[in-house]
Amino acid sequence: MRDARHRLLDAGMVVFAKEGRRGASIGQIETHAGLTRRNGAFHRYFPSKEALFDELVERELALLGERAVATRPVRDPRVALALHIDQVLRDLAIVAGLVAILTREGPDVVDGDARARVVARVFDHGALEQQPIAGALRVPPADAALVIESCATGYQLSAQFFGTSLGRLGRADVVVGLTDLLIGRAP
Amino acid sequence: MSDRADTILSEGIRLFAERGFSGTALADIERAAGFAPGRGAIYRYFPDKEAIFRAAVRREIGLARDARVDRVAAAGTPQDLLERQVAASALHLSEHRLLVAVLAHDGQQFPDLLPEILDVMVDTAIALDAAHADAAARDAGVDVDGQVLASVLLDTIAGHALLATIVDPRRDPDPGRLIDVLQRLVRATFEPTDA
Repeated sequence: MRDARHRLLDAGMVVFAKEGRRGASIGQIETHAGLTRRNGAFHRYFPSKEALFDELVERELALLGERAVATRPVRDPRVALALHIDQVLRDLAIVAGLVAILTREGPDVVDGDARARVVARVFDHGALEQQPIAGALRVPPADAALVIESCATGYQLSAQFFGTSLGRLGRADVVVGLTDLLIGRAP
Repeated sequence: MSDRADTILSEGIRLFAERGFSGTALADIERAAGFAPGRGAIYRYFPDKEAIFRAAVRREIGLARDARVDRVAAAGTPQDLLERQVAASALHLSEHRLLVAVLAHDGQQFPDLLPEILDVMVDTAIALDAAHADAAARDAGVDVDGQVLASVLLDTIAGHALLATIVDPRRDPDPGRLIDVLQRLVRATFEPTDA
């Protein structure tokens, strides 16, 4: 069995998703983690509900792929860009649950910089500014980044319902279509 | 529809888009629409929160449908038409991004509303764009799959509206820069190959 700390984190994910960050109570999280309510168990590990949430954000972000690995030296710019786009789509899917929690109470709930941290990590487009991609892009890297982020967000939204993009494309077709759009087809 | 009911729906859709159905309390809507929370006056207009949600989404779908720009003035080359359609779709989805946000928050909970939202926001635009793109590809003699291109464009446009609405509210929701970038990419796509 996972230790109490891990179970509290897992429980937090579920309870926050269900009740929101305002509605979730420490007692609910304890119950869901299989701990006795209000026995001080929670506070042995976390000073507050917010502290648990903060660690949850870190834990989910740690699940994301290492960009350095995904962008290992590849000479073909189309392959390198396709790998980058694929990684962004993958990462966005991994943090989708976290994003749902972060967004369900609207922009007025104070979340420290959690939202900004998640967005910055998932939308890290350093690869676009390096070769071989940079020299092959039809638009400047910052513009390509805007297109990739937008397309990935649209795809993720749609995939949650349909398993495909809004235009009923599978993930591989989105990666190829977006690569074609940003670089052009192989001669 | 009475002005009061209309206010309930317009405030309702704004709150549902920001917070989702479950994150919005009836009292939030009452307050936003100028009712004293918990006094029950709102029940003269709607029986419960779900009725407000459904009516608010339907109202927004109607507004989006009336404003739909899927018959952009027809003169021009297919590539011109595609570029104009990209701009029109981006402005349309940005204008009605509350509907996109509601879809993102609660599409799963209200699957019966999905087809109507998709129809008005997405499907017609993709069909038109795909036809323009296929024609433009024939004109330019380039190898482009119109359906794939149109789908990627629409995912991108819808995603942009969503990013600024709920994922990252610090962003500028104005689609102007995205439109400009996408039009440049479309032009590059249909440039006859020099080979």
